[in-house]
Amino acid sequence: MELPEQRFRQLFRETYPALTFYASRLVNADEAEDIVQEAFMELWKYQDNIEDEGHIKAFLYRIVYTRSLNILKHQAVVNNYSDSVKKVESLKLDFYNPEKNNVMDYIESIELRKQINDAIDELPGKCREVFILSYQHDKKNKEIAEQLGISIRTVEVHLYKAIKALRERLKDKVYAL
Amino acid sequence: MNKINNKIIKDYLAGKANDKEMEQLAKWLELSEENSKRVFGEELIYHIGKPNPLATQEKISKAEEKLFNKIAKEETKEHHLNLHNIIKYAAIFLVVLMVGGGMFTYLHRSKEYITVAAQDNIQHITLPDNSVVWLNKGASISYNKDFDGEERRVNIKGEALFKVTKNPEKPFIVSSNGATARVLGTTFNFNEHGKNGNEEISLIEGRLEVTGLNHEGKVILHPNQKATINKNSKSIQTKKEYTPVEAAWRDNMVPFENLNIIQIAQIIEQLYDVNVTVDSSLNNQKTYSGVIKKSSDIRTVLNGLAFTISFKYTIEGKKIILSAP
Repeated sequence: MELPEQRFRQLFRETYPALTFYASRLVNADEAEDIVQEAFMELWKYQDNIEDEGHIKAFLYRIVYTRSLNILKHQAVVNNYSDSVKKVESLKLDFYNPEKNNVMDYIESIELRKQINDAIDELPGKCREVFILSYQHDKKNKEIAEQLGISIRTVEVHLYKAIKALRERLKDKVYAL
Repeated sequence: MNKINNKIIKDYLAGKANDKEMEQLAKWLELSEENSKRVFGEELIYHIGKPNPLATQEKISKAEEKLFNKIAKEETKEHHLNLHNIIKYAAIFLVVLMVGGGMFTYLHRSKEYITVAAQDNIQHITLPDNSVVWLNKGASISYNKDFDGEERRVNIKGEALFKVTKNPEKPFIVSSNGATARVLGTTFNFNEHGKNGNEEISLIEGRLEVTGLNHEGKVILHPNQKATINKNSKSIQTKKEYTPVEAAWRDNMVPFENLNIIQIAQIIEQLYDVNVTVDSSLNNQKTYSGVIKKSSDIRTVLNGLAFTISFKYTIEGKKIILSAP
């Protein structure tokens, strides 16, 4: 099939957020951006080989995955990780293989995003406030403590409670993978 | 060890696990895929809820602009015609005739004839009916100036690739001293290639009737078949082959569609005259589409394929083994 430029641009804007998210689960942010660019370039080159639009996402995810794998193979040699770190990394990569697990559906799921947000909303007051600052605004524990006028230790306790509650709350989602 | 201390998982997710914890985690993860799914699933969900710093409106717009600049650049590059598109267009055939010097058989015709020859470069010609011909180095063709008459006749010396415009009313016929190829169906590809002084014609798509002009007989070719006309034994043999490989001289591209790893390995065998073994560890159910760009180093091609298909390879002389990475 051939994608008209307008459709191609639309597709790019729709798919870019999830695809960069997926890539940055595997490689660093700069590499993720490059890889996603390459994936769309490939799509543009080989659009004739794609039979219908339903296959496009899988095509893009597969390219992002294999290119990330290549980068990581190289890094494992360069960084000289310990054996157990390598093992965990390789199992993690396996988990992210789009042909093995439905990670793509997870990443694309609006429903799941909503459930996560709902779960965060349901945290008790101070606990939620601390968690959002840490999780969504990437604040350090020390900064949160200063901002809210509480001790670092209290921040840690709130975060611990929040994560415990969320893990409990979202447990089913994990097992549905 | 079916249980794991929750603290280890938490520390891992927080990026704070120490060596000893990583060791325990690795061991536990190896126990079952369930364990793997649990930990990495949690990790994934944890990150899904976070804002993606790469997906702000500004970043998306920048990325979009960058991509379309690259596409524009790519498009203005000297345009390599994709063989794949040509196949869709109408008909392609490639004629390679190993004939020595000598005259064309049709020069006696009274109508005005045009002869085009390619010397040091591959040459590209449009015929009166809009069919397109690529002449390989040293090849030449001649044809009637207006293609009038009941047939479209072209005489050839050397090697050429034809993209023929459909016209069932007026058959397209390519002849040499030794053989004639006649377009039968809607699309066809004709490849006549000469090893050992034989003439070879391979069909990429459509239907083609090939006739030996020295009593070798006649065959009808189907896609991915190659006819060899042996002048010594006065016979025509047909053989199954991935025929786009035969046309790779034109732009070094071999397109393929929905082929599994074994079929792709056969293309490599044909392209480089090697022996490729596909290990049973590789999945041969999955199919792939794309283009192989022929390179002087077989490793370049294998690395490119391994990129998408995910395999590793070993090369020993003419033997290549593909296996799971």
